[in-house]
Amino acid sequence: MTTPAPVPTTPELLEELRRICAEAVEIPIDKITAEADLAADLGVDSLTMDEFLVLVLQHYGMSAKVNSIQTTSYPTIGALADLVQRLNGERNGGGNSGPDD
Amino acid sequence: MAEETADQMTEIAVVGMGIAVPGASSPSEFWRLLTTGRPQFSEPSGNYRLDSFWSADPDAEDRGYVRVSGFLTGLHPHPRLAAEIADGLFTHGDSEAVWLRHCLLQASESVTTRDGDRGCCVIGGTGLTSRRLDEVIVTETAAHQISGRLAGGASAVAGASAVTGTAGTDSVVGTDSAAGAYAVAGTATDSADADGADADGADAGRLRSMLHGHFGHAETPPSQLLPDQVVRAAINGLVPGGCTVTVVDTACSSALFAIDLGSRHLLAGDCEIAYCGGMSGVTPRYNTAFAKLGWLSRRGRLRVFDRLADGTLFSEAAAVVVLKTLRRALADKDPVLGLLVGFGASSDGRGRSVCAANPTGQSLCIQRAHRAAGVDASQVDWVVAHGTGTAAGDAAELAALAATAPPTGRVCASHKAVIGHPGWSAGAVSVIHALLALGYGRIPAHRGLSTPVPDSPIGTCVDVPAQCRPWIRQDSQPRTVGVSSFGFGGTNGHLLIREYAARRPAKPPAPTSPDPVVLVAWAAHLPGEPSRGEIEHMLATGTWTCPRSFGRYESPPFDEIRLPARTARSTDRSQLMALHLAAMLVAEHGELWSPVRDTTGVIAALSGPAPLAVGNLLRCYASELTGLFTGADAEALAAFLRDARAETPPTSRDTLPGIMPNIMAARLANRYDLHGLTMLVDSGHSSGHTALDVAALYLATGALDMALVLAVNVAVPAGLARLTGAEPGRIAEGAFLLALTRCSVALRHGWQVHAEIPRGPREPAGTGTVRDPDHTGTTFQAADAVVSLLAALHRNSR
Repeated sequence: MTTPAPVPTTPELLEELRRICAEAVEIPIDKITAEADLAADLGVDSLTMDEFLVLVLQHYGMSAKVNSIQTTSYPTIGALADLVQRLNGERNGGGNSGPDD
Repeated sequence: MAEETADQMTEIAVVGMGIAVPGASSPSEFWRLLTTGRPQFSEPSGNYRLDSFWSADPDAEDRGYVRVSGFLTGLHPHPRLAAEIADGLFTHGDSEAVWLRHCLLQASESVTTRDGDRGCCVIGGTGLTSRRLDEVIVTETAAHQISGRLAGGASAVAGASAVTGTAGTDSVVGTDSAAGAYAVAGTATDSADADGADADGADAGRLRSMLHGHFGHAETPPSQLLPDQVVRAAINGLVPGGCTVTVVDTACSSALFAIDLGSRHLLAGDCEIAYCGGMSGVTPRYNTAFAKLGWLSRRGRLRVFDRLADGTLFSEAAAVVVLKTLRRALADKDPVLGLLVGFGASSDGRGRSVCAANPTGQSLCIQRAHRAAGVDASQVDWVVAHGTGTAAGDAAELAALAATAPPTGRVCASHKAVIGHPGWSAGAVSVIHALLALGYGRIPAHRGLSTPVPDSPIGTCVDVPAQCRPWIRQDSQPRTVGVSSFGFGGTNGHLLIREYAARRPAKPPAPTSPDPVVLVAWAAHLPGEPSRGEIEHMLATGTWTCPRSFGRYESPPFDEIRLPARTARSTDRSQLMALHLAAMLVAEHGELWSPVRDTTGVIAALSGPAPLAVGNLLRCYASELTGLFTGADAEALAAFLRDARAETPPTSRDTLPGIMPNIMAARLANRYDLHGLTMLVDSGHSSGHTALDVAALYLATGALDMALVLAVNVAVPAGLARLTGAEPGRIAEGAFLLALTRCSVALRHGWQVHAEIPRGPREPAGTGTVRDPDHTGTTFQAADAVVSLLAALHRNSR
């Protein structure tokens, strides 16, 4: 097991998720904006979405949460960033999420 | 708008039906099966050697995990067909043709034919589910490649991927080899060399006979196994002379669309009798590719709408209904089994990947069918559901049924737990299910459901009968049933069928005001990227100076295709060409269809196997082939398989959407968010003509406001020249897109009208074989009719 990555601040988190997505899903990184709908705008199928979500949760050491999450509720990188921050906040014992914004 | 002028189909009567499904060789046997509910699945026998294709491990390369399917090994052919088989006119190996002919004979028994009747035959089908076609493609390719390597000739050096030159330049045989997977010779003379060598190192004949022996085939000319030729063989001598043949491909909704298209031909006065239905086989490759999507039942048990549903199982099947106008049916005293009163079609459009089921798209086609029939939801007694047993598909369908249910709820039932998924014939099998229920006055129990999926609408607004129910007329309203059929690629169809109430006056067909079909934009995508001016010049002069092949086809930019690179690698060039072509049209005209997105559809023409499908087939048959050869043959085979594997990615969940021909049309609907119907038509070499005709028919009847006619030709994969019957040296790759609309729609939106497209005269039956489209001898095969139309336009304008 590799050590889970710490959850960075929002802008960096978005960058990190875009990078992971570009590599895992093979989409040009400049197309992956925070708002782009991965399925509708970028042609990502639902199984690939599931795999990408698993990858992200693993990256931040949140794999335990995977079964409680509906991929379709997080159609964009922005929504996924919010999810990671919320889970991180819950893990750190507070309701509050990221340090910024 | 099309929505308001939705066509009335009150005049179409079903006057005959025939069916072949696992466990039932006639409608009455099918009824018995529906009422007893015994599942009809078994392991394959004969040539389908499971060991070559199966693995329990879902991740095993190019293998699938399913062991059982539905097979027609127990079919009792119609007596006349049985006699023909005894006389050697057909063999059991002619599977699809035999099944279809059986259904047609059965369905025609009750039908009166008069001298001078014109017929049309519209059948849902694809080459992708023909085991015999697959085996012949494997045979031809392997014989070609192995013998080439044994001879040490150019094709051997070039490997599986010889592009043997381009027109307009001197052909360079062999040296271009790494460039692509397709043999396209530069000129007729070159091709004689390349293909002659090809076809035939001295060993090719020996290898071919040996493989035919292995697969247990007679050496039928391979071109006779393409779907339109199979239909022509099946109907031979049973239909009026001059009967037109159209193979419709909207994947698993094909047969329902075929029935609708036949109805429209009758209403347009194109013919007096329409023979409509579908045929579908079970193949090792299809089962492998479908397994990679995870959509086949791991348990090998098909459950529908159930908590334990874990996928579908495919079946060999065929079904045919015979249609006439009600007036003609009554005059002929034919039995009226039911009336087709309204059809709704839709595409899912943008939103999810091209193969994900979408409740919004499904609801839309159901609502459109209600509107077309002039009924509200409460006037439909129940629905024969598509119900395939895949978790995602069933959930989407239940959501759509719930969304379109009347306040009292929606009764629905499916038969797939019993007979399996009849694939390209599914819509016609469901129509016969509905007609039988009308005739017997009962709704058979739905099988394969014990505990519904959690949170499903079953028990609230959807009611799935666990017991057979009487179906009686309420408030003297004629009984009405809906039939749903949904296809891969988001091709949704819903057909309403009503009992014939003898005293009801027949409604005359709605008068159609003359509103000609017009061409408002076009684009062409050709090798060498010629400019618009150059293309127009080539069209006008008939001299094609651009290269004949794209060579290795580079994927268009991401913005044009919006597909992850991995998906693009597993997507056939025909689909990528279609997406690039649409982007070209948009670059010039913008998204013309934006004001009529909901009623814009795509009618595509393509014939012959997709190159990537052939590469994938070889991967799936590698294990089967490897056991057959020894010595030098075995070494040559190993080298060939190595090349084939290097060229085609392993079978994955991207494979099936990447190789299914109808997805070519669906990709455009998905990329540009179009919600009209998408369909592929295949009538062999006249496919382009058929696509134009079908587009004009859907426009004229108001089902579409814009029809994009997409005609694509790709080169024949190496060694398969015998499959199309065209000389490889004459075949040119290219893709053409026409935007057609009605004149009034063009005026309303200010689109420039290039030309009026008159309907007909309809292509005579012919044989669908190659003819010379112009004096240069160049052929774009399925796209020829579209090229001729554009050529005429530019000759006139010069």
